Amino acid sequence: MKNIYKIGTIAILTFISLVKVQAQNVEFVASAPKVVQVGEQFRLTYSLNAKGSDFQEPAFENFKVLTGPNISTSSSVQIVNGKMSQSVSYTYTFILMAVSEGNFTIPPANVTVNRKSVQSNQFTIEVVKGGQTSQTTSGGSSSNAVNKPTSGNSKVFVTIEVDKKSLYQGESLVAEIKLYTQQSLSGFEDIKFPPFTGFWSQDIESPQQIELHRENLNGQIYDVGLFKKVLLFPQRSGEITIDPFEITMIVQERVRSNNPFDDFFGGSYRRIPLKMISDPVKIAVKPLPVNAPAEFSGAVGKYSMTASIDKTRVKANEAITLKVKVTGTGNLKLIKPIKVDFPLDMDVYDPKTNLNTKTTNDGVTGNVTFDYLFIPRYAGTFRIAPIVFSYFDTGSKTYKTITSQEFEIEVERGTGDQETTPGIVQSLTKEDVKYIGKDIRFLKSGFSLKKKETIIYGTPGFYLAYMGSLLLFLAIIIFRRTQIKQNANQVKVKNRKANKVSRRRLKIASAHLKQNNSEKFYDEILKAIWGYLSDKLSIPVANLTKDNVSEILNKHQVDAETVGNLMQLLDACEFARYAPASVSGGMDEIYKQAEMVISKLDQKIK
Amino acid sequence: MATLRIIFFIAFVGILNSAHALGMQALLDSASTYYSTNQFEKAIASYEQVIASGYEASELYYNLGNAYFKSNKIALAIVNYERAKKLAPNDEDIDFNLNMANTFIVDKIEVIPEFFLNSWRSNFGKTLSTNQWSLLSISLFVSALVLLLVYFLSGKAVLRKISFWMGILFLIISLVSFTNARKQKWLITHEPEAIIITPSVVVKSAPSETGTELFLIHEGLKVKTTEKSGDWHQIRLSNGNKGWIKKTDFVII
Repeated sequence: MKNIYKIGTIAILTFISLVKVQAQNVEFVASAPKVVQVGEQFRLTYSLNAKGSDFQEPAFENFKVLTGPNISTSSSVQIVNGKMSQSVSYTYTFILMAVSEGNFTIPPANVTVNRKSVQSNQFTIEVVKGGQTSQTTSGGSSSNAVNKPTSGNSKVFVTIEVDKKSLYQGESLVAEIKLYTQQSLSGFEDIKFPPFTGFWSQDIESPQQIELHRENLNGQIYDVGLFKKVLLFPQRSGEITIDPFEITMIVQERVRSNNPFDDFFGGSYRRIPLKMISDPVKIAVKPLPVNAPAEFSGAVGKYSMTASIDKTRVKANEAITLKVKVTGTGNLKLIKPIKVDFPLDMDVYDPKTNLNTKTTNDGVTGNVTFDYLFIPRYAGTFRIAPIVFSYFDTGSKTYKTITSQEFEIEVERGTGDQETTPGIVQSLTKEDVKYIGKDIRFLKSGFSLKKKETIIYGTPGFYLAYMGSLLLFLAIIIFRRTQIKQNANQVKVKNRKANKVSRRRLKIASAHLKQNNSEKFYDEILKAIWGYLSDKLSIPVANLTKDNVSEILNKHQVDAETVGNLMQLLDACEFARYAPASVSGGMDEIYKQAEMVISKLDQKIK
Repeated sequence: MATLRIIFFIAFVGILNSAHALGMQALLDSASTYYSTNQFEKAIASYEQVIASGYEASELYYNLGNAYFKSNKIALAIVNYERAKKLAPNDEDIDFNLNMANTFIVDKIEVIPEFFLNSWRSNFGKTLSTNQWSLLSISLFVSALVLLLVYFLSGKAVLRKISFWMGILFLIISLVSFTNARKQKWLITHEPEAIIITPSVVVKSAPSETGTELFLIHEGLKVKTTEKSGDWHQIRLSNGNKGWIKKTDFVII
């Protein structure tokens, strides 16, 4: 029977040795609690995922080796679809005890795998003061616990830890929701994560299984578990509060029993539900500086930008894609599509956004690409102005602006589009003029300045203008009137002199009579009569005819007989001038008649 | 010798004046350069300096109004557009920009409908400035007198007839211009228009801080100021409401 066992063992061993160990990834890892108390026994393990030999333990200064190294090995063989794989693991375990306080580094251990020496990682262990100090430091951190565990010397609490309490709007912070415990827990209920109001949040880690590791907090050792690690971007400035985290924990507590058997079998445990609420955390969010460039649209972090275009020579109605790529770290997911100034006559579609990001402790890292699809409708050369991207640099705390190059697109006439066949007039659709913006009209130029005017109305000069011109008017009128009056006097003088003048003429006529110069005689008689009438009536000789004379004389109330005599005389004289011989009465008669008519008229006309 | 001195003096003053005008022109040029490069505050300072030197032009006020508009001081922009409008009542650009600026005003006040003859009359009165009306009145008066002289002195019947009636017509128009000038002057001295420049003003019922608060008006609104009591001025809105505000709350156009 024994032999059979032996043979089996040998067979298995040879079988194992035949399988070639896949040693490409040899891992030799040391692990131990990070924090221990003085006097506490703890386990330090070196695990190796290959067959190792010649293990050389490091020098454990400041630690006392209680047992070890204890070597345990395990191997597993898998056969999947006829393919066999095997894994081996060697574990070297020490039980150590810390002797003194401080931070101690355990140097790497060495082991030989396939004739090669493999080194483990270095390891630091913090040793804190031992003893039951936990009773004295039941600080405020756990005061939120609504339902404290009955035994006072062990504590449980939850916190929200943030990496910065003051930051710029749009910058990111990391918040960790953690559990600290010194008691054994059996489970959780009613986990209520804070809503992170006022932040845009992005999970970094959210483990399904909560792993506990030891940490030193104020000289005490806690088992710490991470519930969630979140990246937060404040959405507004001012003070933002992260609401408390709530959880109900089930704490196991040993119940002291009177029954000694219970104690013997490990005792009975009580499960106590314990509601925990963390402290709210206040974050001071500084607003971004005010001198933001016009293109700034909320991007905060460290970025670079490139722009590219897929083609620059197209035919009308062919689509072109412009790609703008922003790479960097920050609030990448919150970057809005960058505004691009496309020429006005192009059909531009809404940009397509592609995100390729990873969430890290520093923020969201990766790149975002905006694809702008646009279609030129008309031929010509078009220019797309440089694309300007502006962001707030969290490193230098200033705004930075990146400008891409300018693009020039040449659009040729497309096929079918406005193709003109000679002789055929195409009807074109009229378009309204596109009003792009509204603005006030521009400055006026080329004007001349004047000294500031005072109001003329009501000033003395104003009234003086009226008065002066009126006075001038009156003066002219008066001057003219007196002149007219004087002229009238002259007429009077003429009137007065009329008789004398006519007598002088008659005298000349009588002289001609004596010389028997009949033609000159009649001429002189007529001149005398007309001249007299002109002077007496103050009408120029040229304006006098026989017709109007009789009329005018009638107005002056000269009797009809005298007028008749006058007419007769005038007729006779005129007749005699042209035919002197035919006159009956002779020149003496005429002369007397003229004398008589003039004297009669002189009496009548005043 | 004395005459030579006077001639020198006149020439000197002339040179000084032209130098001054040149300086003003340089200021205007620099202001428009500032405006074109979006440095509106500097443009405003230059224009204000020209105005402070005692010069004016409707275009100057218009440009200053534009600079204020661009630097988002709507109330002051309106003040300057209104001043420009006073000097050039029929300029289309001024009207356009003033309307644009008025769209930014908060208060919307219903204007009491006036009897159409009255509104025609007041609009007619505003087609020319006070001085323009005055000068028109004087020149028409003088030409009417000249025509009447022709009437009195001419011997020709047709000429007399025409000059008489024309003279009477001119005299009437001169009288109308005179009354318009008078009315305009009265409005300027007794009911000057003003623009509110404080963002929000509470109008009181009495000229003191303790007066009952009547209503609230905002910057850019055009009001008429009627009476004065210390630092307080009575204002009238175009809807007829009256109240008292402080002198610092408005700027006379």
